[in-house]
Amino acid sequence: MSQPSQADIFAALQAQSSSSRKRPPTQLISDLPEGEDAKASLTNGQGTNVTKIHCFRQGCGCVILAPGVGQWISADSNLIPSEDGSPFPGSNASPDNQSAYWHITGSPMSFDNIGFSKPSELKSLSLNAPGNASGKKVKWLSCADCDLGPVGWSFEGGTEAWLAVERVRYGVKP
Amino acid sequence: MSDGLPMNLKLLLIGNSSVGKSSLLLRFTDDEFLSDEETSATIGVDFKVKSIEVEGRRYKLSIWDTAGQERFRTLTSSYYRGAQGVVLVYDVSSRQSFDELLKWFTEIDIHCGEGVVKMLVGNKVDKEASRQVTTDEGKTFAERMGTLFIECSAKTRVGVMEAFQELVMRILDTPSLWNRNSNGIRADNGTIQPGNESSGLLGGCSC
Repeated sequence: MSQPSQADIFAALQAQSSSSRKRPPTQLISDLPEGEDAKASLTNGQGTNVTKIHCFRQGCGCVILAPGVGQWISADSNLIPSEDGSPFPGSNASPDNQSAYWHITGSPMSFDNIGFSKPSELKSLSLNAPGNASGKKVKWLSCADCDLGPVGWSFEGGTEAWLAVERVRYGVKP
Repeated sequence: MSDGLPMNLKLLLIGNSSVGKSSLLLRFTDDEFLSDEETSATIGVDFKVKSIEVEGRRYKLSIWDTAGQERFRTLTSSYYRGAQGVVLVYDVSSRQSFDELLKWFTEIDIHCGEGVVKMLVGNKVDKEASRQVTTDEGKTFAERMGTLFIECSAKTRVGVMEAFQELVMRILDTPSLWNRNSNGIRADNGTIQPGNESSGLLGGCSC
């Protein structure tokens, strides 16, 4: 089996550095046409994401999740504590105070690109968050390229992770 | 995808405290559109997953920081388990961080086994005025230890990406490393044996 040459690898890495990366068109969940059902637009029949999921920062474009990896789930709104100066919008909560999250299972390698924080006790995740329980240490998720976060959470020693649907962008089909 | 090429590669960042290991893990981009206030760097990144594609084949790197454990001189063996590449970092403005590299080489030999690809990184070259370790010294030491060598600055990001590129290429050139899955070792029957402490988000995956 022939191996890629060094030149091939350099070219591939170069193409993936953000400076030269072609940034595909993406949208936020709030960019969906009014009245359009977000779940219907963003998931398939199995409830998994139909488009690539990207960093919230439009100028970054980093691919966080490949299609079909995240499962759309519903849980309480505003589980991630909001911070002063955060670029993220608040949860667009339905009347029953529910918001959507992408549930990722298996391992960290289920992600295409992601950063895991050190176990954090400084900022508290709502105890209502899926997977959370008293005494668990949170590992926040951030963009692997530009470090913007937190975009979601996981737990020390856990096997799952969750992304807030409002804190990421979605590929737009041509 | 059945020719044995690795899909997941585990890389470690190792070196004394304050040599800038964490800053190497941060910021893979030349991101002039960022300001520090906007990032979550204050919490500190434990590890990152980075995907790269070569000739249509995807590789996922998990790049691990030590979470400050190096202050206690030794890192737990679970940190080293399954690693195919190690980035040894020193600060060119700290003679001590350079002199103590031998200790880290010993640690790696004990925990990582033979064949793991090592790279020496002289960090903080932006602090040229207070440099205590010359480029030639770094180069000579790297040659002696049989490792790759690069000087870089996470502050200016000069050379950072190149450091990781070199390491990945060397791993791909070392077939004996490919079966070292970050979640354990490959058994004779081809199944992946999970490592004791590496389940879930602290370890890799067996896919």
